[in-house]
Amino acid sequence: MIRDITIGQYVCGNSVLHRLDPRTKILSTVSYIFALFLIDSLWCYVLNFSLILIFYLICGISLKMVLNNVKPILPILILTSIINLCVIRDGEAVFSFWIFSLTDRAIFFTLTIFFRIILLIFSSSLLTYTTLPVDLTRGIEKMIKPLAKIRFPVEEIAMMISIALRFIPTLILEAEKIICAQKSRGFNMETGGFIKRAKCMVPILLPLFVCAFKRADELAVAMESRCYRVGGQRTSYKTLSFKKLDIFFALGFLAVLTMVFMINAFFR
Amino acid sequence: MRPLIDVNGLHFSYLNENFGKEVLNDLNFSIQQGEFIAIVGHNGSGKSTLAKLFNAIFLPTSGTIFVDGIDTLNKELIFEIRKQVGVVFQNPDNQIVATLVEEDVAFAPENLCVSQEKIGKIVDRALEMVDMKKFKKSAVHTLSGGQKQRVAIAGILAMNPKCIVFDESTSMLDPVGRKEVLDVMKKLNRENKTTIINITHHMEEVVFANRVIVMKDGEILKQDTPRNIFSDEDLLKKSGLLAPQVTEFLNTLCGELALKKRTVLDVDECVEVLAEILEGEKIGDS
Ligand SMILES: Nc1ncnc2c1ncn2[C@@H]1O[C@H](COP(=O)(O)OP(=O)(O)OP(=O)(O)O)[C@@H](O)[C@H]1O
Ligand SMILES: [Mg+2]
Repeated sequence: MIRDITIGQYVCGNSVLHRLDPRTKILSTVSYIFALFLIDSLWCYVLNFSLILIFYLICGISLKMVLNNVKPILPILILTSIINLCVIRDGEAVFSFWIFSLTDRAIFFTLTIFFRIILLIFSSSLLTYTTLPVDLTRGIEKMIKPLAKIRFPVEEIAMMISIALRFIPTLILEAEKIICAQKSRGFNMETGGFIKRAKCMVPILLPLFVCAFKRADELAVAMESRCYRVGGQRTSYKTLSFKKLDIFFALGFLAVLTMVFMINAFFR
Repeated sequence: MRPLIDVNGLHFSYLNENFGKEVLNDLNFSIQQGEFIAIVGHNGSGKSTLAKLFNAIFLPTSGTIFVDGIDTLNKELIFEIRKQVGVVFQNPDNQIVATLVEEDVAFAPENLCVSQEKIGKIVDRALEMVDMKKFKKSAVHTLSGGQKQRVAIAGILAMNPKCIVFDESTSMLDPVGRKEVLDVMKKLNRENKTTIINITHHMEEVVFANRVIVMKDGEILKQDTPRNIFSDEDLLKKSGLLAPQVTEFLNTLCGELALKKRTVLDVDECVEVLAEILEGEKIGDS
């Protein structure tokens, strides 16, 4: 069920990761993702993978949750993997059958891409699992604050992100209702080929968009009624502050990433 | 005494495809501080439009609305007006801005640039008033409809308004949720002397009001106490309203006999009148 998708959801807890300042977590996640795309040794991917698994263990979040997020893109992932395996021809053939041949480069490349995408989902999900949406937006707001000097609408962007996160559960419930409503009219989305299934999305997405616009309209009026004004001055209910924990974590994390890069450079 | 809301010769029409069609047509009335008002009327009679005129979301096409002595056309004092008149809308999901209950309640004070320590106190007090303090740290999407609507009310209370307009705020709730919200309305009116304007299609809710304003096609048909409204058969027919179920029940059961007595508004009164009628029958028999 789509309800199982937990992108952008927060999981209550009190682990080290939960207590970190959102800015520490955002920066760590971003640098982790950068590292993912820069390294090219399989051992480093294994290392990165175990690092993420350790984090999941620390904050006590079950892997089942994040696997639910991986599930929807699994078909695409497998499809691209197969295409990669068949198309890439350079390197030495490890295995060949009729006109097909598997080269070591192909296997290596496919595995890399596979790991990258999976770890991307694992790490970004971990960020939202351990950080409240409000803290996340507050962190982003603080980090892009300097851009306000060049007239970049920092507060508005932060407000947009927080509202988007706020409405994810609402829209997921709505999508489920629409699917049920369409099913009860004899609409079939489980069978058929890829194109037929893609076409099936139209009767679901169209009402979903119409509803979302209607919601947006009402929300805008409600926000105005509560004295919101675009570009207006606002105060903040809670403020962020770096603690000792943040410094320790940042240093430790930086050390691990440096180590990964070194391994990547020397052991290939 | 200066009325809290004073409406004079109000006309309103939308500026879009419906331009030219008078949605509100020459309204004149005023509302005093501490009143409990119910506004009823058919779909499209202009109730929601009126609600949005009270807090300057829309501005009169002609005529004036004064809120606590401030003209809603006065752009400089617009926040002053919105602070005085809060509106709770129909769908709680579409008026809650933040993911966490406490963050949502803090939204209005944040907009009004209240300092951080004060916001904390305001949030606690507002949640206390709607009896939602234990959900302070909960995520909004995990709450029931009635609880969500109470969070929305707390969000309005955080502005410390003199008047709260409820625009069909109970219509998406189950009976339990509806009672919760109604109890909050009554409590606010009783304890804080907050003016309540309840726009509703549920006649059972109208009964609690001091005064009922009946609207039809952008005009006010009548303003009176619930009892007088529900005993006015012509008015009910003209505006397409039905009296509360108990009233209808007694009228259907006893016909002329009930009408000769008085209009009943709740179950207790109904029982009383029924007892009187039965008593009367007995005396007549013997
Ligand atoms: N945004 C809008 N643009 C144009 N016309 C509108 C708009 N909103 C409402 N109207 C029209 O104004 C009239 C009054 O609508 P309004 O929503 O105020 O009625 P209402 O009494 O609240 O009805 P309901 O009981 O259905 O909530 C209707 O005829 C409606 O078609
Ligand atoms: Mg309405």
